Amino acid sequence: MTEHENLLTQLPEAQPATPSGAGFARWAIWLLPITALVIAFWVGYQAWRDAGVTVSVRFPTAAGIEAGKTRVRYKEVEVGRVTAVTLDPALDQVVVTLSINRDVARHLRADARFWVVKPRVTARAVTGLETLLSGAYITFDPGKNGARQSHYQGLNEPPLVSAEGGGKRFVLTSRTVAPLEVGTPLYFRGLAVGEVVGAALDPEGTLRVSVFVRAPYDEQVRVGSRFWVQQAARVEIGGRGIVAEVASGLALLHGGIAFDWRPPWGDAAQAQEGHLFPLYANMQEAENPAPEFRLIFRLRLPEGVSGLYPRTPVFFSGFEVGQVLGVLPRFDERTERVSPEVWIEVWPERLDLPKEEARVQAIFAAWVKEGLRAQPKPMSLLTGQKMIDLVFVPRAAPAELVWEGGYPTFPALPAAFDEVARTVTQLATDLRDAPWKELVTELRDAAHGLRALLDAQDPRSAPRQLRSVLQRTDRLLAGLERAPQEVMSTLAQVRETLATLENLTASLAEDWGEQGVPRAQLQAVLQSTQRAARAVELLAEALARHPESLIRGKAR
Amino acid sequence: MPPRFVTATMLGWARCDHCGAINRRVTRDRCRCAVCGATLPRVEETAQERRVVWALLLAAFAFYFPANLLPVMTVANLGRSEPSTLIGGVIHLYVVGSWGLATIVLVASVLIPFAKMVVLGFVLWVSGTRRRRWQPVAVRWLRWIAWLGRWSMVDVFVVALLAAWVQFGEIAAITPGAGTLAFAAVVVLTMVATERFRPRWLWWESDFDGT
Ligand SMILES: [Zn+2]
Repeated sequence: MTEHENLLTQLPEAQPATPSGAGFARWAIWLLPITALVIAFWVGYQAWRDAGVTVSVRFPTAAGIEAGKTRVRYKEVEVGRVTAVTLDPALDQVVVTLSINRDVARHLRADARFWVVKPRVTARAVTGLETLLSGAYITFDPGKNGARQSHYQGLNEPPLVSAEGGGKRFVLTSRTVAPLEVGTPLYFRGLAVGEVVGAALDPEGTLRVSVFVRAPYDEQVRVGSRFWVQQAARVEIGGRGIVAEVASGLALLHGGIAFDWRPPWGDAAQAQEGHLFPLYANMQEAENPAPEFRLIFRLRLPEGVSGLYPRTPVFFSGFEVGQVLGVLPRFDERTERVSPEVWIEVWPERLDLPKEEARVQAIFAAWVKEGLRAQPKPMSLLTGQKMIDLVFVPRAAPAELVWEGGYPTFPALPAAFDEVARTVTQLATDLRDAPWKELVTELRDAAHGLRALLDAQDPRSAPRQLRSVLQRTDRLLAGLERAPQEVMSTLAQVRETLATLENLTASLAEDWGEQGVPRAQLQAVLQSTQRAARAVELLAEALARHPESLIRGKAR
Repeated sequence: MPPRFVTATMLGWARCDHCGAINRRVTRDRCRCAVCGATLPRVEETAQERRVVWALLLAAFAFYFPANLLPVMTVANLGRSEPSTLIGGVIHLYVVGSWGLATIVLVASVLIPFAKMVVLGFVLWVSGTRRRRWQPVAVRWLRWIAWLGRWSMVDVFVVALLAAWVQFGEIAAITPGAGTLAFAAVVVLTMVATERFRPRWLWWESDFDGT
C-alpha cells in the first residue's frame, strides 16, 4: 500500500486535447428534443387528420354492424369505420359510433342521414365479391343545412332519394303483395328509368313503395299515369280467352314495375315529387282498374258450380261491375248438403251510382226486391269460364238482401247453361272442320283466272272457276247455319260478291270474241275477288286464334 | 466546511474511464489520458453533459405520445387492414376479457417506458438541486431503470418478428407502423440518456473542485 501511495506523486500528466466546442455546439444539443417534438407533432397531426371525426348514430338494430369491421362508405368509397356499437341507456336503440375521415366529415350537415346498406344478391347481380366479404356497410347523405352534429338518428331503411343527377320520387300504394325489393327496376315503355328505393307497410296494411324516376324520364310521369307490376311472364286463361303478357329485357328475368300514360287515363300534367299512385297487380288491372269503392256481397248457390274463381267477373246489364273474391264450401246443417258460398265485390262506380255506401246499399236492396238475382252463367263456352250475371228476373220468388255477419247475402239463382254449352261446342267443331283452306285456295285460283282474262289469254276458264268457288261457299254456309251472326254475315258477303263476279265474268266471257273487254272493268273484278279471298282468310285466322269470339263477338 | 468526501477532481486528478489510470490534470479543459489516449472530460463539462441527458430525455418524451397513439403494426387480413395501436391493443384486450394480458402489455409497454422517463427526469432534477435527502432514493431508482433498460426493446422485437413471419400477401400480412419507430426511438433515447447520466452528478457539490 505504501508503495502505491508513493505512486500518487508520480501520476502521469494528462495530454492536451482539442478544446471543447464553442457556444453553438453546447446549445446544439437542444436541436435533438426540438426535432423530436417537431416529428412527433407532425406525425400526430397526420394521425389526427386521418383518425377522423367521431359521430354517433342511433339505429333500431345493429344487425350486420360490427365494431371495428363495418365500414362507412360514401359513393362506394370507404371514408370511415364503425368504432363502437353500444346500446342506449333505455335499451331500445343501438348507438353506433362512427369515425369518419376529417375532410369528408367536414361536409356533414345537421340534416345528414345515415343508413345501413346490406349486400344484396338478386337475380340482377351479385354485388361484388368484396361486398360479400365485407358485409353490410353504413352510408350517408351529407345533407344540405345546418352545422355538423355529433349525434344523428339513423334511418331504418335507405332514404327515398338515392340518386344524384336529378329525378323525382313517387309513392305507389298497393293492397296486394307485390314481389318487390329495393332496386327493382321501373320501366317506361320497356326502358329502365328508375328503381324501387324503399317499401314499407303503413299501419292500415297498405304497401307503400317508394320509387325514384331518373331525369329526364321523370317528366313522363303524369298525374294520370298508371303503375303496374310487371311480372316476367304471365298467362291467364279466363273468360276473355288466353291473355299472355311477356315482359321485355331485364324485366323478363326478374320482373319490375312499369308505368305509362294514355289520354283516357286523365291528367297529363307532370306529377309532382312525392305524388301518390296506386300500384296495380298487372297491366290488365292498370288498364281497367277496380275502383276503390266497393260493396261486398255473399251469394249462396243452391248447388256446386265449376268455373268460378277469384276475379271471375260480375256483370250487370252488360257492364263488368265487379269480381268474385272467393268461393268457399258451406255445410248446411238443415239440408245436410254442401253448397258453395261465393263472395263478390261490386263496384257501384261502374254503374254511375253515387259513391255513398248507404245509398248504394239501399238501391241494391230495392233492386233485389224488384227481382234482381245473381246467376252464374257461361262466359266462354269453350274454356268453361263463367261469370256472375246480375239479372232482373220477372216474377221471381220474393227475396231480400239479408244481412249476416256484417255482409249482405244476395239472392242467387242456380246456374243453367249445359245445353247452351253443348250447342256451342258443336258449333266450334263445325267451324274448325270447315274447309277454310280449300275455300281460300279456290278463291286464289279464281283470281288467277281473272288475271289470265286480264292478260287476254283464255277467258272461258274464269267463270267456271268462280262458279265452283260459289258452290263451295254455299255448302259451307249450309254447314254453318248455327254459326253466330258475325261469321254468317262475313260469309254471306263473300258469297254475294262471288255471285256478282260470276255473272259479270260469264257475260264478259260471252262477249269475248266480239269486242275487246274493258280493262278497267276486269281490273275491278280481279280486285274484288282478291278482297273476298282475303276476307275469308282473315275470318278463318281470327276463328283459329280467338275461338271465344264465336260467343262473345269480335276480340277486342 | 470541509467537503463530505474527496473526489479525484478535487485533488487535481482525472480518472480515465477507459483504462482506469489516474492522470494529473494540467488544465481544467478537456485533455487526454496519458496511458490510453481517451478523452478526459473537462471539469465544467458536467453542466453540458446534463444538458445532453435532458435533451435526450425530452426527445424520448416527445416520441412517447406517437409511440402510444400511432399504430405499432398493421394487420392485413383478407383485404381488410387493421391498424393496431398500443393503447388500442390494451383496450381491446381488456374488452375481450383478457385483462391479465392487458395489464402486462399496459405495464410493460406503456407504464414502464413512462416511469423510466419520469425517474430519469427526477434524478436529473435531484442532481441539479443537490437535495441530499433525495440522493439515495434517486440513485437506487437510477440503477433500477438501467436494469430495466435491457427489456425495453421487447415490443419492438415482437413487431419485427411478426412482420418478418407473417407475410402471406393478400391473405395476411403484418407491417410495422410508425408507432413502432416512435417506440424504438423512445427506448433508444431513454437508454442513451440513462447511459449518459453519471450517478456521480448526484453527489458532487457545485464547487467541489474548490473554485
Ligand atoms: Zn486511459
